[in-house]
Amino acid sequence: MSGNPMNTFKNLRMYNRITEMNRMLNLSLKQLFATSFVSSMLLLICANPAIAQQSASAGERANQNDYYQITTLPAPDDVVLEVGGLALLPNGKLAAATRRGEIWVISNPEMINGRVPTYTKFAEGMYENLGLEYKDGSLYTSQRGELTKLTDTNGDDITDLYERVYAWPVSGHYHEYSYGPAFLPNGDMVVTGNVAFGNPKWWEAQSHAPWRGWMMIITPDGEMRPFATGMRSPSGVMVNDEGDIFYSENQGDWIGSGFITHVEEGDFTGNPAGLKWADHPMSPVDIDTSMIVDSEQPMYETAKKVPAMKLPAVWVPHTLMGTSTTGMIQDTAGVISPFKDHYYVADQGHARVNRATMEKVDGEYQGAIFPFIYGLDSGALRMALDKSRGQTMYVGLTDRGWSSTGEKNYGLQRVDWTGKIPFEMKTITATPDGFNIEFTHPVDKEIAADPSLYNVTSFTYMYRYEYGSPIINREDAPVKGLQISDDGKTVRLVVDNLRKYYIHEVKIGELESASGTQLLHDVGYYTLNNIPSGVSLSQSDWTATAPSGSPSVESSIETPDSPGAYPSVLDEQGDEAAAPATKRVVVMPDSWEDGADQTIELGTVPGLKYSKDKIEVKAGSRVRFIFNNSDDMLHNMVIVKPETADPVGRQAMNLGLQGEDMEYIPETDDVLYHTNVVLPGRSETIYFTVPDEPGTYQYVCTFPGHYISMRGTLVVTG
Amino acid sequence: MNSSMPKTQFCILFVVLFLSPGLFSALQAQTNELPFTEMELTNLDSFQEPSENWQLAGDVFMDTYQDLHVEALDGSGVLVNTAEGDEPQDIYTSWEHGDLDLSFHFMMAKESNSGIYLQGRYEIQLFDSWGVNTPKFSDLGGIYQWWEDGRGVGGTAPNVNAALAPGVWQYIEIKFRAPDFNEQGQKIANARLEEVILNGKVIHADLELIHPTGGAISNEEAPQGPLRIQGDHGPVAIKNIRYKRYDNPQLDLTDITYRYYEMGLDEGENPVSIIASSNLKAEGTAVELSLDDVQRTGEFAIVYESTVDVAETGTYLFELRTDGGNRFEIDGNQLIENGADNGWWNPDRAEVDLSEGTHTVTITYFRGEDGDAPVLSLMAEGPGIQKHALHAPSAFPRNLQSVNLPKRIDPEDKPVVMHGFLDMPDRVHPHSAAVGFPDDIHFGIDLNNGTLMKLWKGGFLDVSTMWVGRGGGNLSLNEEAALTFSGAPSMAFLDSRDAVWPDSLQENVAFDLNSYRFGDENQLILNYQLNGSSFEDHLSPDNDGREFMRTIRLTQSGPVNNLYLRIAAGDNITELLNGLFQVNDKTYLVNLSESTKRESWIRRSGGVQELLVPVSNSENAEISYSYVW
Repeated sequence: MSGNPMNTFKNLRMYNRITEMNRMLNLSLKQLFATSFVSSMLLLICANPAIAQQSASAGERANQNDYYQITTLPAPDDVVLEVGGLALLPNGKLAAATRRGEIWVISNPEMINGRVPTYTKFAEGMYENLGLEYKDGSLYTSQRGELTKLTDTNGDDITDLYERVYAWPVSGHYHEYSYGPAFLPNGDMVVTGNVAFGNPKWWEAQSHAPWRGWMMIITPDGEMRPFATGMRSPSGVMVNDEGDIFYSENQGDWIGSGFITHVEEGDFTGNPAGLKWADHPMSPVDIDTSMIVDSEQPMYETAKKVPAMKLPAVWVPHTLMGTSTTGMIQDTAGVISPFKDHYYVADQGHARVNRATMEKVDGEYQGAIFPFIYGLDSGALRMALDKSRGQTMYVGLTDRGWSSTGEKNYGLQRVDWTGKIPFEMKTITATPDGFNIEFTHPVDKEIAADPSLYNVTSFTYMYRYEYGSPIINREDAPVKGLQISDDGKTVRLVVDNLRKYYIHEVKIGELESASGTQLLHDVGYYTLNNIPSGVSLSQSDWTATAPSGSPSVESSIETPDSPGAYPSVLDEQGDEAAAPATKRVVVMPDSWEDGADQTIELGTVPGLKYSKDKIEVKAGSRVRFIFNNSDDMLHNMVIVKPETADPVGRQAMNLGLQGEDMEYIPETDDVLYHTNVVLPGRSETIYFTVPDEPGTYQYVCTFPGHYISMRGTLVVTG
Repeated sequence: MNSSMPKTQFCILFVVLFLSPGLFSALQAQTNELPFTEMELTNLDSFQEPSENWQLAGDVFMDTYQDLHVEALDGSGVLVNTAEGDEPQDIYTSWEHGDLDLSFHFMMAKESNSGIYLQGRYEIQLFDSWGVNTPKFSDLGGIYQWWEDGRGVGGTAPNVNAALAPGVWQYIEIKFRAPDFNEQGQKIANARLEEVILNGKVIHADLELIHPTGGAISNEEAPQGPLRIQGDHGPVAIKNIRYKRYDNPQLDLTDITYRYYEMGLDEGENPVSIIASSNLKAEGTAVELSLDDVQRTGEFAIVYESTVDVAETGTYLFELRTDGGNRFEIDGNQLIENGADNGWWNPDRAEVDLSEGTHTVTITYFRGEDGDAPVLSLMAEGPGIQKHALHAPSAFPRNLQSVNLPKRIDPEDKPVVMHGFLDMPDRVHPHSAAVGFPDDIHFGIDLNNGTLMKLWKGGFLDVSTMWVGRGGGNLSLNEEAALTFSGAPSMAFLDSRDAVWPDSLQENVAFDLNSYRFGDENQLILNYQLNGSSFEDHLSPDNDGREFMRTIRLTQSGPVNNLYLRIAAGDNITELLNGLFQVNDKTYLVNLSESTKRESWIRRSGGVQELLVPVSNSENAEISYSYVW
């Protein structure tokens, strides 16, 4: 083990400084808003849209740092923690498997008395390890092609015995990543496998070898049983406290958005690539594959006809709650005690961790997902919880190949709960006539009594061959009234237009707890596969009208004042109308009789990059700009004023549900020209006249989470 | 077009192009250059009156383990220096050379010493350097010193020791550039080794030879001199001597005119076919093929017309690479046409017979939309004319070298296993591992059937493509000098001793790898089961990192019958006088333990020769053998 102590020390100090700056920033914003007048606020908004945007998301809200401290574990330069698996060991050390095929054992990860952790390479030479579990003295990890058991037989903290538990077939395609294991109560292990890609679309999910796109159950003796299929990129696999199996899925073909699905033997969860092996003698999946057809209809329409199809228990709405659902872990020990038994769900693209709660309705899991931890250093993949030495969640990070928000490409961070309980929606559960929202603290009953404080909107996604899906069938579910429990901890909403199968966004305005604390997060997404039967609340029991003097309610979704301002994405004409036409001209203007002065072509490179870092154009010239999206993700191309890529990117990220309809183009003068969101493999051509003023302009992808890395410089010469 | 894809393919290209020593000669059969002249070795007419120690043989046997041992076998095709006779002398070609590309196979006797003197003056050392860790100037491939005041001066060691064993054929490729002189006869440029590749590894690159080396025919440097092989220090054998002498001046494009078109293109349209005068935007004369005269952005087509003076009638080769559509014509005859971009790294070549005199050359280049700078490259080679560019450097703003900087993994104090996908000639083997040892001898194995697929020496592994982006790269072995075996399984059940060896795991074979670990002597120990029988398989370097040993032991007997191990397969396998087996004209040797040898036999089956041994089903039965190369 070698390492540079100076480096680790520097990292540590740097981190402390950043944390300190975050605190200061939040503090000063709070002070600012506490004392500001409306006029000065307006002034501020006009002067600096970036700050205005921040104020909406952070300034008046509670601050994450008050509840959760994020610490980066310093590591020597030669310890490249591209974490694919994390496991807490009984001796308090932490084991991290990496995408470089190594396993590091980390001593003192809690950094007692500020001492830095130390790292021992326990194993090496494996292939893209994307899972790690400890059991009975051994570590178990998935490589691309096998489940491996590693044991240190001579006590020197280095493995000396590699045992192959089971090798599953792979064809040799890079995308055949494998995940797990997760242990079942009987000691069997659950593993999932990615599909490969193929033709005609390079991102088309294909299963080139048996059980790619499947979940497998493997006994410790190496007997494998194919268990379920429909998996595309099932990067999270988990067994909960009841012994039920869940996996997390990533957006792609046939997968409109990320989700979490409860998997039972014989299930088909969505992507049809793995159905190639449904007729295999070992397959438990019995399905009429002719029923799986490309359509623009929601997934549940297919599920109605296909009994083996399992709908997600919790959708993780794309861009709203992340872009790439990864690891899942259940907090059975109550490491963060108010959330005991909740599920923490990581996201790579947004470098964050969400929180999910589930209940069983009509015998099936369904539930809600909430924001939880923001602002990690890089794409979050794996978590480990430690209650015995603190109230700690370790989060392993890597964004190599996909990129993410956050300034680093990999690392290991610790999230320590301060013990202070944030004011949060603790759970959302379904009722026959709406939702029960349980809070972590009693609400201020006077504020909470206003039904217009609660905004419920439902939507879903298409089930189709094309990569991803827009939000479809969005409708309001007006809150008719509510009932607050005596202890003030539960608000029962009575909601109109509840729709079975739909994702219901529940968004809350400026609610305060009884002690005056603001909500740390104001939104949750509940997947309502089943509406429970039972007794609806009688009208006499709920409050229908707002008490006078209550605060007005802010809605992030379509406002009544501007109906149709953001037309449905299904409306073909709508997207043209969504933004001022001058910023996106897709037909060469008639006035350009001699054509464009210059044609520029810009492509994409995997890993959230454009094909060019820099483009030079002449001031005032007429440009035909072709943007080719050859990536497997959605992107746009937005030309912005000098040094505004960051604020514009942030504003786009904060657009919420309406972001998609707006093509993630915030309404700001900083945006000069833009394309719409371009699907993988598609391109869009726009025409514009270069600004007369020379300077260093920027182009940036404002698809949520992309702006940090996906950008370039547009040099306008005189 | 998908902009990300070509780059990926480019990386893969470099991975799959590595060749085994047995294939080096095949490489020259490709038409990326004009054919070499092969020296006639049915007689010694190419040489000046050779001394007695030089003779022709049909083959040669040099015992790997016996000093200076050589035995010439009847026939011709191999030039042998037996080093016998009272005064063994060097041998000189009857011709002289300036710039020279040269390649040949050679075999060293144990502890022997020879050398190849370019122009009779600059010696590249031929030496038995098998197993040497840090090569010196006096080792195989070294540039020898010269003498000043009785002391050795200068000398350049090879970058790596790529030497193979005495008694196996080795292969060297030399690109020599002669010193240059002005009209007064003064030297204005040193002699140079553009590249020397020994057994697939670059041992010198762009090395200036500032002085003739020791024992030169003259310390006066000169434009021409004979090729000379040292004969006075020990046995050496040489065959397949191939060379190109470059004595003619380069081709030159003259009277260049161009026509420049701006145009759009609909999908599926052949760009070259729709060039129309209505799109003509500019025309004029050009000094060179540079694209400097026109706007290089957007969609455009350019047609260059020029003339070229050919001094010697013969076969000429042209190589055109563009990042768009193209067409190439000589005297109005179309030799190359591409309707679409097939990648600038993917050149088209045409061979054409040209007579002495003036010819017209027309190059049409269509460029679609692309982000990068355009590429137009035309190379030419001819009789006595080295391959050279006819374009200006600015028209080829690309680097043909590797895209990724290598990230080497080299085992330092303990062996290393690296799992990954391994490319083999038959297919990708996705459950493979490369295993590297500090002794710089490494192997690749398929963990799904225990098949040894590759053996190589020197650097271990480059993980630069595995550890970037999404991890799309396969195991990138530093395997230029690898022995590549068949991807077929090592063990198989045969109904009879004549049954054909299967090319993949038989359906009735269940191979289960249980575990692996390293033993006390750093040997990799695999434990696996095959249809109920348990085996322990030891793999490790042997003889101080010169050889590689494998020992397979049955630890628990099961119902194993008619199971065989294929130790080697090749075009030819024969037993040598010293009891070792040679494979593929002495590309490598196999040394079987006594008990293994007793049971083994050579057979011809399925078009190849195979060295087989039955796998006994008695416990603790052992099969043991070494690869020697």
